[in-house]
Amino acid sequence: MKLLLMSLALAMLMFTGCSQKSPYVDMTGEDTVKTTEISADKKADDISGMDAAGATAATIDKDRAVIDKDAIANAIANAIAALEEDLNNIYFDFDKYHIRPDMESKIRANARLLNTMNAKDFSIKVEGNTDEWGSDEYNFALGLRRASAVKERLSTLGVEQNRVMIISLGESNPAVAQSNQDAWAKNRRAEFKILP
Amino acid sequence: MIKKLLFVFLLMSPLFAYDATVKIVKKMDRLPKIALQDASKANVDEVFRKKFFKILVGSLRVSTHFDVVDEYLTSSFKGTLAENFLSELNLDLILRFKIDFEDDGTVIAQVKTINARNGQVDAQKIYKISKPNRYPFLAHKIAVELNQKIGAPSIEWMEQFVIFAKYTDSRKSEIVIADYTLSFQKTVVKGGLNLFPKWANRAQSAFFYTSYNELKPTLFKVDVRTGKREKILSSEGMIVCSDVSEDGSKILVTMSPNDQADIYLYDLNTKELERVTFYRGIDVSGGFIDDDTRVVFVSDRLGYPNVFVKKFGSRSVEQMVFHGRNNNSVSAMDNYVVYSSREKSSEFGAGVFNLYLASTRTDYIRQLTATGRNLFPRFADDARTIIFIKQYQDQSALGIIRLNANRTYHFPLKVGRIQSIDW
Repeated sequence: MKLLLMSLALAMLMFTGCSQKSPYVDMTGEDTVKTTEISADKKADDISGMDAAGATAATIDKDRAVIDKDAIANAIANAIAALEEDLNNIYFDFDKYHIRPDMESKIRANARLLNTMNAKDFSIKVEGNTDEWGSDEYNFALGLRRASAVKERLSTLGVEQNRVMIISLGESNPAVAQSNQDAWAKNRRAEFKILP
Repeated sequence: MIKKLLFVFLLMSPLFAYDATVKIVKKMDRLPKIALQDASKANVDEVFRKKFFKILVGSLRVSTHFDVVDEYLTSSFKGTLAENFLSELNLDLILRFKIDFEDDGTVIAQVKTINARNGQVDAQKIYKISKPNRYPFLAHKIAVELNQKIGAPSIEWMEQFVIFAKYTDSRKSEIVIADYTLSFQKTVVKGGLNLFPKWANRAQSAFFYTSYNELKPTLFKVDVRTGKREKILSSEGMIVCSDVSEDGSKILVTMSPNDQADIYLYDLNTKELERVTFYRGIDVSGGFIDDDTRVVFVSDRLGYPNVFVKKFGSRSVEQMVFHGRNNNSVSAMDNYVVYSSREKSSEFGAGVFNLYLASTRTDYIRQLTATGRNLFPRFADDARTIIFIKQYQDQSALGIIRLNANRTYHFPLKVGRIQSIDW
């Protein structure tokens, strides 16, 4: 799975034209070569110097590994951010957890996106949220039912169930912090997070 | 002559009888009137003295067993004749305190109770607390013992710690231990989202809480003294410890390993987990009742949240509450349950959540609040006192209901919003 993700990330690096990332890799390579030369020179006349230079070279190698890893992580993060931006929140009626008819097209669009090549290797976390009315377990269970309803609908739309985990955040994660009808309507929602 | 005297006596006797009745009724109805005197030396911080006075006055008032004079009075500790009677206030009792600090910070309160009817000292006692920031408990202790001295029903619940979670930001909350007036507060869990704290035993030496900072929501148990944290259970979706058995060996947990919220019974010793409810919908807020033989819980099995009960090991479920169309957040004690009920179907009306007290054995039901959003009721140890959350727009307060006196008191939380509470 990790290999798949790494190759996906590298493919994304190449195809998304992330021009700033490639030179970093090349420059690191040049630095390492130079350092190795210095290290060879030092070996001839100064043993302690060799050790010191060797240590520097090792550090730089390690840095390269870190930078490579960072590049992959960045690519994955960018891919995740792009997907999350395109996924629609699903909104719910007060005290309800069924998918509203006006949300059907949104959830279908989400299912299509989650089954594209760019997304199908990622897992999905559906977060169920409620408005501020009520502050106890029932509210958290309501958030859970909303997330669960979304998971079930995604499943019928071809998104594999084992890719989807659900969590309820109850009222703890308001999209809008105000206390009015509009804010409450925006807070009664299921949000999508992509997991690497 | 004798006949005349007898006639006059008979004529007057109904008057005597009337007066006597009034006197007896008055005696039974009237609370002992008490004033407090601060006899601390002038070099003791005045702000501290006045805070202490305010908390002590508050505790005596919340006991509902005293008629308390609010005025801040000072006196000498020995007391003059005038100071021992305060005749103009027509008192029954005077409570005189003298605050001192030891070098290590220990707070000392010397306390005298004086019978203001005869000016005599009834009792004298010294109270100490080694952690200065816990001084509110010193005041509560004095109130508890004075209450005991006059033979009133116990108010020992004042000495219990309250534990609550408060939101500090979106997806951020802290767990705080406090006294019931929120005058003392100590944050014990911070960083990330930490919810639903619940005392693990009567001694309040440990508590459970849900952490959202792991991959899955996780239930932890924390030792208050050492701060040591032990993982108990985790579940996808949600996990909450809703009640602890009388002996502290079992807990009721709402969790959702199969994507739906159900109630489970978890044995802390054997680590056995047993599913208690099986409804494909919402089952939450399980509470032990009737000597831990039955569980009361909230379910939406009728299409709206309401309170139900079932016996452990049995499949049948009984509806417990037949009032209201949106009842949740139930808490149980002995043969009573208290729950929060949404009064209107509209989400925009005022005065929407009220608290109700119901018997588990009869049809008895009593409305406890009249206005506002009253949530998360929890019984004190004695079932005569209920703590709850009063929610304002973006603020909340801790509410105390004294059932026998039908009185409610509020203690606002200055920063943050209370998510859940236990004591």
